[in-house]
Amino acid sequence: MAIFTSHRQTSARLWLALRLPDLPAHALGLAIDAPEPEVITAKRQLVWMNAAATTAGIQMAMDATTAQLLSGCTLHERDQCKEQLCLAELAEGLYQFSPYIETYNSEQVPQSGLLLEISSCLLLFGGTGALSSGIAQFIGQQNLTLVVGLAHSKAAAWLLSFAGYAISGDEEKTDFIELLKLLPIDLLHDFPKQVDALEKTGFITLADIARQIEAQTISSFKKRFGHEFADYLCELFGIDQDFQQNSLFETPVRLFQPSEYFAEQLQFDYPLHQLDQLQVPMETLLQKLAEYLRKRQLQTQHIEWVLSDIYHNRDALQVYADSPQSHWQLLFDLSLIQLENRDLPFEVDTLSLHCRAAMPVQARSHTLDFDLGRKINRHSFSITAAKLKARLGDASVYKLSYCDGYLPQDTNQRILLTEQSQQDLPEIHQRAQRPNWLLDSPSLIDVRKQGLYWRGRIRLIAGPERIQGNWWREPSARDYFIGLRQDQQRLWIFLDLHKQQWFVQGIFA
Amino acid sequence: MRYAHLFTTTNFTFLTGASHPPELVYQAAELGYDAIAITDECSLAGVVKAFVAAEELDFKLIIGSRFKLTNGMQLLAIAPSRTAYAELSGFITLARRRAAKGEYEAHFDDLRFRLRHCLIIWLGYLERDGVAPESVVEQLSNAFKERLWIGIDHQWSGGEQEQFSVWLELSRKKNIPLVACPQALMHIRERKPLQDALTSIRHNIPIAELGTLLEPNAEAYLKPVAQLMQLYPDALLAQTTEIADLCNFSLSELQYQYPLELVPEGRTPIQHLRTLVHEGKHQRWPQGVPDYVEQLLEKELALIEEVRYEYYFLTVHDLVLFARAKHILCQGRGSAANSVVCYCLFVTEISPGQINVLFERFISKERDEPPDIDIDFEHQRREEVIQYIYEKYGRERAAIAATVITYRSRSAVRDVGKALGMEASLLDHLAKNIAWWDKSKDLSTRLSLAGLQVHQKTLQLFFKLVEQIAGFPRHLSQHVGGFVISQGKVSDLVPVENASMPERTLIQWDKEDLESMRLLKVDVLALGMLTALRKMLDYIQAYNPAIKSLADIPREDPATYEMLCRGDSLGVFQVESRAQMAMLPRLQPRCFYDLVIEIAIVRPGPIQGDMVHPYLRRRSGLEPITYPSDAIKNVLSPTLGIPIFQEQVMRLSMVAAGFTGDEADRLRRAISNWRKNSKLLLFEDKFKGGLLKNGYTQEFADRLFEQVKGFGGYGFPEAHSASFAILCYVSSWIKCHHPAAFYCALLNSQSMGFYSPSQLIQDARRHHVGIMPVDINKSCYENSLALDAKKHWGIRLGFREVKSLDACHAQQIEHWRGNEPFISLDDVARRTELTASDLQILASADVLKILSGNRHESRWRAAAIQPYSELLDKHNHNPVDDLFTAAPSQEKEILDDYRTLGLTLREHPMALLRNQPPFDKCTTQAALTSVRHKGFVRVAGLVTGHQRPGTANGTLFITLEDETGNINVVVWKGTQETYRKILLTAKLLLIKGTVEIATEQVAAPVVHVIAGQLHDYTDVLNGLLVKARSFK
Repeated sequence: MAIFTSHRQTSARLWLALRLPDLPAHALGLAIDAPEPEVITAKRQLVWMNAAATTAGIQMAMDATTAQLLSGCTLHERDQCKEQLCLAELAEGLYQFSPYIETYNSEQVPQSGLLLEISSCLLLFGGTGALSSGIAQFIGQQNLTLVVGLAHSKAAAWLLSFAGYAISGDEEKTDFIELLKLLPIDLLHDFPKQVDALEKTGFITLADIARQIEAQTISSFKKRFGHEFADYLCELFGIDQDFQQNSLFETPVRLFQPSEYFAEQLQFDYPLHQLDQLQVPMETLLQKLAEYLRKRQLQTQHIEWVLSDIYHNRDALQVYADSPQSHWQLLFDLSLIQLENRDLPFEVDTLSLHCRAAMPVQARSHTLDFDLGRKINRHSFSITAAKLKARLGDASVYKLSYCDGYLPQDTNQRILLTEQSQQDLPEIHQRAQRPNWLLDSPSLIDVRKQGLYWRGRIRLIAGPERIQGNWWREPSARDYFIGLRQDQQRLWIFLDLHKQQWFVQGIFA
Repeated sequence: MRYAHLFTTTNFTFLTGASHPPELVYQAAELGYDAIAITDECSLAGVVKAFVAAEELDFKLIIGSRFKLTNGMQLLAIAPSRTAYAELSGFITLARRRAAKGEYEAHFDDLRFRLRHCLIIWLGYLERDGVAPESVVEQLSNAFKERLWIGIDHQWSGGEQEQFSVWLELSRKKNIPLVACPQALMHIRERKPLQDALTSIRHNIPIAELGTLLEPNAEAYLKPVAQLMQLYPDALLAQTTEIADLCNFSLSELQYQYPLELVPEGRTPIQHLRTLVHEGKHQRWPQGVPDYVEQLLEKELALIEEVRYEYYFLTVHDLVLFARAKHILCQGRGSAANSVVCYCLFVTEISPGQINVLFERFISKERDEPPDIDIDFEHQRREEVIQYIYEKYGRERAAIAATVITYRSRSAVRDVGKALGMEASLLDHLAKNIAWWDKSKDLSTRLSLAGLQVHQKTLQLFFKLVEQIAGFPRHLSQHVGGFVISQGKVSDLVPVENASMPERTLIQWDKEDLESMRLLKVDVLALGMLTALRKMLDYIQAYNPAIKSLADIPREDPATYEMLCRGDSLGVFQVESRAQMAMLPRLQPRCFYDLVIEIAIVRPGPIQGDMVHPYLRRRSGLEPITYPSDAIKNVLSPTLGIPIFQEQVMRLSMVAAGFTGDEADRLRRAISNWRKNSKLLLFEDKFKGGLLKNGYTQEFADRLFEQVKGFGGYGFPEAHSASFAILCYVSSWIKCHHPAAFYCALLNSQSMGFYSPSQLIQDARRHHVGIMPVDINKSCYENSLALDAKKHWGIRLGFREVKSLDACHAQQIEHWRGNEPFISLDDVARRTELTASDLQILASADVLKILSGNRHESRWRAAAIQPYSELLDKHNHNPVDDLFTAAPSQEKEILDDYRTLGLTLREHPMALLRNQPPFDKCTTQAALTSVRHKGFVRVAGLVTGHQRPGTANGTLFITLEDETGNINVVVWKGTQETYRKILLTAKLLLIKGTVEIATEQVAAPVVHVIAGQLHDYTDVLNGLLVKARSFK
């Protein structure tokens, strides 16, 4: 049985694993050398900690509460999405070194990283040593700690990043395998069940597995622990599974696809000094963007205008839409609204349009749309809302929703226009009369000559209804009444039993 | 103005009412109400507690219940008479029985047809679901006519005024009276935060997010009448007393009626009982019944006839008869059980004269209260007895008593914390770190240690609520075995509802309620030791046919007492605890009555009453035995002048302080509950006064009363102690003479007792019992007796010891194996239905060693086994592929033994560690006696038990196990605080301290190590999973 010593060279691939232990902190923008203990948790378990936390006696995989009680450390929740974004950015940067880049992340292991196939780039960069130091330099510039592993396969390279050896660049596949053999089997994080079973069978290091495979065959593992695990071991040890044309069955290395984005610019023959002059160029660029989006079946909610002059002055304008757009008109309108209240910062020489965040158009059926009228209304409302937001700012446009609260003023909740509002009212609204319009905060009523005045004299016509409690926050006791103002406006008013003051809470429609 | 409160929700409407029933009754009386009705939702669970309080105050209690019907109607049903009460109880039973545990389903039609005598108060609410109030009133009016009222609940909530006009109009139109019917959820308004917390727990939503699900205000409390007069028109208040005046029913009217079928036709109950006793006495004394026995029998039978308890004795006899017929070991316990009548009925084995039973303790003419007999059955077969009861009396006539599950520290911390929106992990941490010995006042310390500012407002609220909610009922559960059996339907007496266990029903009253209501209860209890004894007898009988039953065991065997005097009692019934083990060499039991004392003396009562040391001093002749009078001598002479049993306290009060039998029993009850209430102090003057009057000194009176107080709740009756002493003696004898059968039966009756299988096996080996490992070709499911290499009886461990192994499959292995041993793993796979997972578990537990070598090889081969298919049999053979990993080391074998079996037959882990620092400097348990008294010592071992008895002033006792035995460690309170975390978590401890060895006046040295420093070496164990057991 030919395995390690007399194997056929299955390929000449060479993988460089870049393991990034501090990526969880980097993604969250945490300083690694902060003086106070800080930790990152996933599912209440520690996945990262800074040096101060280590000094305080915290250990990896510790329970979050224990860690907090032990050191009073600050807890952060791991954000894998942000980590993915960081990895994607790094991959973009590393594209300069190799076109073959894959990300490594596992739910079982807190650490993520990248894997680069570098065999075809060695000549260009002057060998393994030069290439890896170039990569290390690049990663270092991103303020990230890097641990590397080099091997003949992805799995082996990743595992060897835990081996703690210095890459000389002269290693052969046999050297990698010898290094692998020194590693404990519990590093096979992606196969916890198999590792458990192997440990119970006396396997301690990868050398034990290698010895078993050499003495028997990989099939003895296959029948016990499954194909997936056996394939993994084959990849790890570079085992030829006796196919006649092994290379035909080899998984091709995926080419890295750098992200594509729209960027176009117009350079003017003469500097523009009025906003109006920008309209036509903007329209032109947006039409190009629309063409770009249409061809690629994409949509976007965000564009960026960049104005610049010959002195390299630069001014950017961000435009956001409420819903994804593939047409240019709304983006154009929103851009104009944004420009309305401002002056040009300088004489503009160049106008550029950037659109980085595009998303695929969602498949929608248009042919059997019987609800077109409502949709048009909704669409026009969303355009109006988007325009309002562009004019007034995001915070100024909202809608109200009912929220069951103990105190009446807590029952109106501001929500985003896009959110679903709560309209089911509790039983009390069926029994007692409650106004539709509540004031943001209760308004004080004047008490003059034993009469109540709030924009007119008020007469009590029903009540009281007592709401007393809220002891967990701030105790309150109020007697609510329905009051009738001189102008026949009915008001919902209350007497604060603690303060002995009267307030208006709401107005009946 | 007179007023009766008609709508009261107590905390027995679980997680709703915020006051205990007695609190509401006391408050109602205080406010000068005429009466109060307890109207929990579809429940009468709280009425007895309210009744007891009302009786105390001579205050009128009305029984009722609230219902939310399936059609949305809400109403109160009130029982004005005994007939109405039975209807109400039956209706609740009906509604509860058709729904899952804790819920109910009540229909209007049921109500109409079943509540023909109850008064109905419709709690009208506004028109809902399109049903107009008129039509609802029409239905109700047709059904209940003049028994109908419309209840007006004015709580200052929204829309009440508008509603009132609707009700007024309806009332006039239909001629139905309105009645003031404010709901009380609490007795005082200050309970509102607690009521909110309960609502939050009920909805499982934090309080701050509950919104209008909370009560809008704190008005649902018992208000002064003057305040009610401002809220309700006089006419409405007057109606409350009209209703109250119609109610003439009191719970005291409930008459218990015994099942009749136990007496043959044409005979009276006493005739039948006398016949049975007559037959029994001749079996007991075949040579002739002694005169004093005849006299005692006559006295007992006469009293039984007079108070008409024949049926009770016949019921107990019937159960015992059934058990004996089915070869189920059983034994009656309690003073009544140890009467001569019970001895003749074979309910007990305690013969007259063996102990000093106080007749008044179990039957009192004045008290008119049913006697107390607990019957213990083999715990694995008790269900058969329960099914017999159901079969004989039917489910309508037999039901189990309830146990009210109440809030304790941990549950209170979890639920209140959650209600206040505190972080789940913090609560989890707090709850876990409240050690079982912590008191509620320790909570703030725990919070401070958790780094929280205890003065924070939320935490202050948290403390207050945790304190208030403690003791609040949370739900009903089954009593361990208290059965109520009646002549008619049980549901005529008390509502019956579903238990969580399928096919099980329970009544809504607990043990205390039954006692208060003087209802008969037979305790059908499960006792693990009886199961073990049955098995021991079976094992012994296999090789020694002379021992068939407990009666064949020789009495008063000196070797057995010799063993006990050495404190060698691990596994022996009742004297296996550490405290008992330490007491045995001191007390040196030499006869049965010594065992009765031994069992009773290591109890909080005698310990706190400072009776232990005087007794031991007198016993060993260090102190003269004196009695202040002959009367007292008569009572205390069996215990050398020191009161040790509850009966003695009663007797003393009778002979020395002039109490009547009934007063003495009330004193006993007051003693039992004196920490809960201060009733005992009511007896102080009478007790001491009686003593002084009879010529005793003030000093003696004070000392005696202090001793009586010492019994507070934990004194032990002699009758119970005697019943236990029999089992104690029998189990000791078997341990002494048939150790293999003893340990084997204990292992097969797990879980029971103080010790884990690992500890039992360690002890068995110290007693030279050979233990053989689990073997696929030799083991059965249970552990079994087998001859070892030296042809001595040893124990072959069974498949039940293998953790995680499918029990059904494990039980079948023996069957699949038959008489043909398995020859290979493939053979096992082919001939059994064991799954791949089962095989791997067996391999991990080293059960397949004989077939496939060491653990590693077994695992390797087991992992390769494919599911067996007959069709593919020829092609299904697994080519052998050898394993090339090293054989497991001894350490790994031990570790795997613990992981897979929870025990090891190899070296003790401490033996492996013994040669390495720091354990090389530790003294072993066996060598401890050679250390000088008070000398410095280092010991190390696996932590196998913690104990912190309430009597030990906060002292914690730890048991460490090393390769030579168990080391007893004492940790004083101060040391506990310093090493709290280690104490809670360590599995392997190294302790530096001083040794205390008692050698004088003891049969064997009693050795303790007083802990000074504790060091946690759990890491060294590398994850050995030895689970320590903790006992209160």
